[in-house]
Amino acid sequence: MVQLVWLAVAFPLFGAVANALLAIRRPAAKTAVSIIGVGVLAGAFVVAVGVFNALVHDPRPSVPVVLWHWMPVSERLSIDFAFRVDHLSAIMLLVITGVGGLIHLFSVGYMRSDPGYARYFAYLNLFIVFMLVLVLGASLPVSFIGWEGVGLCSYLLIGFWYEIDANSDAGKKAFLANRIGDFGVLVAMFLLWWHLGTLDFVGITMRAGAVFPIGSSAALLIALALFLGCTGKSAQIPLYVWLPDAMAGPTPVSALIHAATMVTAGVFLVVRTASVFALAPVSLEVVAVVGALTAFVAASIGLRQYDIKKVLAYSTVSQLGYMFLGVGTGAFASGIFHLITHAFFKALLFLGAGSVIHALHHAFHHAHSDADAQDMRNMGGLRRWMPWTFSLMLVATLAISGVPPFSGFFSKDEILGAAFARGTQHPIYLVCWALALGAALMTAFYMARLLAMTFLGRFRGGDKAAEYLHDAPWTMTGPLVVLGLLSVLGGVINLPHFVGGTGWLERWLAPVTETARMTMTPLPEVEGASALLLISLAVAAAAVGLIGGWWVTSRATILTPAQSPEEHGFWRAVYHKYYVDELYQKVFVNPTVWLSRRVLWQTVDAFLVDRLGVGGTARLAEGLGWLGSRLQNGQVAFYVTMFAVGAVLILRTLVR
Amino acid sequence: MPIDLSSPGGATLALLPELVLTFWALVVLMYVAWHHRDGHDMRTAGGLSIVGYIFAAAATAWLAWRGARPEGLSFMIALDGFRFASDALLLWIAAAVAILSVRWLIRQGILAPEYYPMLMLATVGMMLLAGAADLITLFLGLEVMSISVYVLAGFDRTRRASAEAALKYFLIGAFASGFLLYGIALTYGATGQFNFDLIGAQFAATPPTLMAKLGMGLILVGFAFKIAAVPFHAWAPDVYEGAPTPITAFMASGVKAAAFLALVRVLAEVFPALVDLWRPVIFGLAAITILVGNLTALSQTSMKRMLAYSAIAHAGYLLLAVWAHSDEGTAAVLIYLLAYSVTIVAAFGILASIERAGARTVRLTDLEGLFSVRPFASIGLSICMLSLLGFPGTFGFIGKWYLLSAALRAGQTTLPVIAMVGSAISIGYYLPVVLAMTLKPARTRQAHQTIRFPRPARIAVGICVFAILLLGVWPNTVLNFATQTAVQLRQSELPIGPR
Repeated sequence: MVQLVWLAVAFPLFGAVANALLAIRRPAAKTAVSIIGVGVLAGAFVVAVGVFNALVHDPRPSVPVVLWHWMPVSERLSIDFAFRVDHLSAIMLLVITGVGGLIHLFSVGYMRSDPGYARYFAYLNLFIVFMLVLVLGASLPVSFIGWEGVGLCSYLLIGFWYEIDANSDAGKKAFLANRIGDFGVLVAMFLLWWHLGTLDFVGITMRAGAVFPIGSSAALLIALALFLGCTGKSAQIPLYVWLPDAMAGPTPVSALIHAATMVTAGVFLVVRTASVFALAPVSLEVVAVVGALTAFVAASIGLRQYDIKKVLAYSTVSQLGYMFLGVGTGAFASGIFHLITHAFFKALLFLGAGSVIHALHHAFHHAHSDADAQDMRNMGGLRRWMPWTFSLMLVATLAISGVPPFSGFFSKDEILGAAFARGTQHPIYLVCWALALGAALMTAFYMARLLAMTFLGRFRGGDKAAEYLHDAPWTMTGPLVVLGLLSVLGGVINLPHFVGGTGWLERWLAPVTETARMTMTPLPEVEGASALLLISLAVAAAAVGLIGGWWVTSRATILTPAQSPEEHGFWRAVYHKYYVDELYQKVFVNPTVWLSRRVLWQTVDAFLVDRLGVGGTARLAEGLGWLGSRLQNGQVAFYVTMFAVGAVLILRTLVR
Repeated sequence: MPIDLSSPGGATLALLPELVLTFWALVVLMYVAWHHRDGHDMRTAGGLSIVGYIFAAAATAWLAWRGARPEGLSFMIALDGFRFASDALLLWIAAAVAILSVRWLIRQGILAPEYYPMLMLATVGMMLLAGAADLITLFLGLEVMSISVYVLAGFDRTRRASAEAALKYFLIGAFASGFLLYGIALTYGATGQFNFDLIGAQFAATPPTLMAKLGMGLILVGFAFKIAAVPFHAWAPDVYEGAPTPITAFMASGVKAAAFLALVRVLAEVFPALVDLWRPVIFGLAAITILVGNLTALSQTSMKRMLAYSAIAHAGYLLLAVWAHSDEGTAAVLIYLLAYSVTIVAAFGILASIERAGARTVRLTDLEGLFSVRPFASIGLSICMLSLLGFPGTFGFIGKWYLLSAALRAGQTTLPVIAMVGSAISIGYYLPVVLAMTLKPARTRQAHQTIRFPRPARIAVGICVFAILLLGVWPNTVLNFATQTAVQLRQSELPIGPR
């Protein structure tokens, strides 16, 4: 069964090809597109369950699946196109096909009226293919195919409505930020090959410990280069700026790619190459600090956004920061645990937001209002019309805020606990812990604000529009219900000891990160009163944030965007995301554009290369070609003369 | 299975593929003698001829499967893996051209089913040429092939261009045959032998006389004409443009392939001892052919003419492997010929479908905006252009890669550099085809509405394009086969006699 894992990739690949053909030939055949698009995901999920089940009963913790010999470069370097099914990739396989399948189903309702329906599903299926290649790849090059491929699909889907310039610009921004990160991964790949002579993940894990001493600068360089890639893909400081703009894509895309799966690839990569990170403790500190800082900064920006998807986008950046804090402390399983629970509740939040946007868009359209369907200032009181969406969003809010016993509580608490425990050895982790705790407070605050602005109070979109409001069809609410259940119960997979759990996920992932954990100093246990105090602090942060957010929002009079005055002072800076985009524009983009336009384009390219080089060469070539054509005058006699001259030359060469 | 080639039975057995094809050509000729009225007869004749190629291929496969080898000396015809591989290559090209021709001829109003027997006889000639083990057989095959192709080039006899092409080809071809025949005569005069192996043994034992050198030079001139190497190329663009499009494909792939296969065999078996003499000739031919072919292709506007010059350039690339004079070189020639023929058949198949009945040849501007109307045809043609360019991921890249590495391993560095320069120049005429189809809008709204892509041609082209992509990423089987075959050519050098 494990060997059949390629089927999980083959199904969506078939779907992508079939839907692409349909998009070219029969864009109107939406039923066929839906059946293929969702069906292949269902098939992939069945395969994933089968593979997972087989692996549970398999004595081997890791099974290689070689598909074909890919690049037999030399005796030493031969890269197979191979997958590796182990405890990590199997669980990622389940999450991607499961959550991915639900989001595909949601898309059927959400995108139904879009003319690019078939194209949309072709991209979405293709994304699943690359995402699975990423997590299943047995070596860095194979995973890198997936890594690049998901970036491509992300670009295509962010700019899905490419008629609007802002959307294609957002796609380009995402692509560029990712390219900077990819450069890091490439550098890491070359360095690994240089030092270890292998790119296979198992090989890297086995040889790294023998080649690099602990704290070696080579291991540090590789780990930091890899982490640069992770900051790009997973939207961490300094490369996080693309993710909020990526919300230009359709909302299910935001749920699938920019919340549940692709952006978590960085966390996955750190866990995959944990053995290298473990050999350079400084790199793990960098990971933790960057993660904690990102969690804090992004959460603070989320406090003052009005676009419902932007709030969720910054929330995603912030939660990804948590995951990196988790893996940065060496609690790899906790990072993956938060990755999984986050996939559930953040997908739910995005899809719920999608439902709201869908309903409002519809209502504003019918009421001939040009109000922004994503601006929360145009919402309010939607609880009346959308009870299902409201209750499910409430569940997700409680989960992300870390209210027990929802899934987010367990995963977030584990990360906070790990950071604190590591802080007893190294004070910098204490700072990280404090930042993360502050971020938790703000998370609860902005989520309560989001709920209150959207669902509570009175509807601010006009009475006319209110007549057209209604809850979403079942293809949209169905996936929400399933995700809601998962958001509530997701914590079960890794229940901590203090509630009588056994920490299943941690034991399950133990073989994957065994080498890394053996290299590192073990995480000290925080027990007794201090453990209880930590949990109470986390819960208190969530409670204070939630109540505060609700209280502040519901007491304030919320004005529609047109009536809103300019923000002032500190909140103005927060609203403008601390002017980071503007800073990047001034410091990086403008000089680059100037350099490329003035120096590289107008001077080097247009003048030196084009005018003198290419132009000159082309004119030379054309001239010679013209000469050749002159020889081709159609006269047989002339041809025969040429022939004879040639023959004489040949004979002259031979007979000297 | 050892076969005594000097006995009538043995000779029959050894010539089985050629005999089967000749017999079947006569059968088809008998059929068309009574049925030559309408499109149906044309289709039947075409279908029958394809059956003939299949029979001939089966006979070849049978000989290869039984491990046919000569008992003693290779007498008149070779019996080795290289011949069988050559036959397979030539038969597939002929069959593909026949498939492409079926509807095209009807649409162009050329209702003369004699076309198909003629094509089969040309194929017999090609097979004899590529499989010859004797200078007489070589000449016989060359003439059977050439005369058939002269006729085929002028087959669209109501068009002036076609008739002119045939006449031009015939005149210069006759001139070239004279050179070849005189070369054979001089070689015979120098050695007293016609048999490849016996001549080779003599040259190995004694230094060549002036007469032998002249003989070799004249034979090389004859081959240079057939492969359209510069300066013996001048006929090619005119003839390629004037000939019916499927026949252009046939000449560019089949005739050229047969000539190259024979050239490789002759140089490996007859003149291996004179390698230091003939290598400079090949070097000069390759260098000038690559440069002139690519540069002249740049300034062409007609697609057929552009592909004609590109065919000249590709002959130049192939000469690199001939220069190498090694197993790798022989294997590279086989691989490149397969890659080139697959690509050229697909490209001409697509161009033929774009041609309107009786209209002038397709120009680059006629392709503008094709993508929006015919996405698959333009994707196919784009893939062909990339393969001809030697773009990684296509079969053309694999072929070029092995040509270059064969030359490099044989110690040649100048020619690969020239070939790379030529390749770089060729971007300038292959990519505009892709750009015209995809980026430029159609000239008129009615453009491309007359394109007819009949199902047989569509299937044949589809298989070719698929093969270009598949073998571009997964060439192992073909590479192994070519390498094993190439070794057999060297083994057959030494049946008897001193070395």
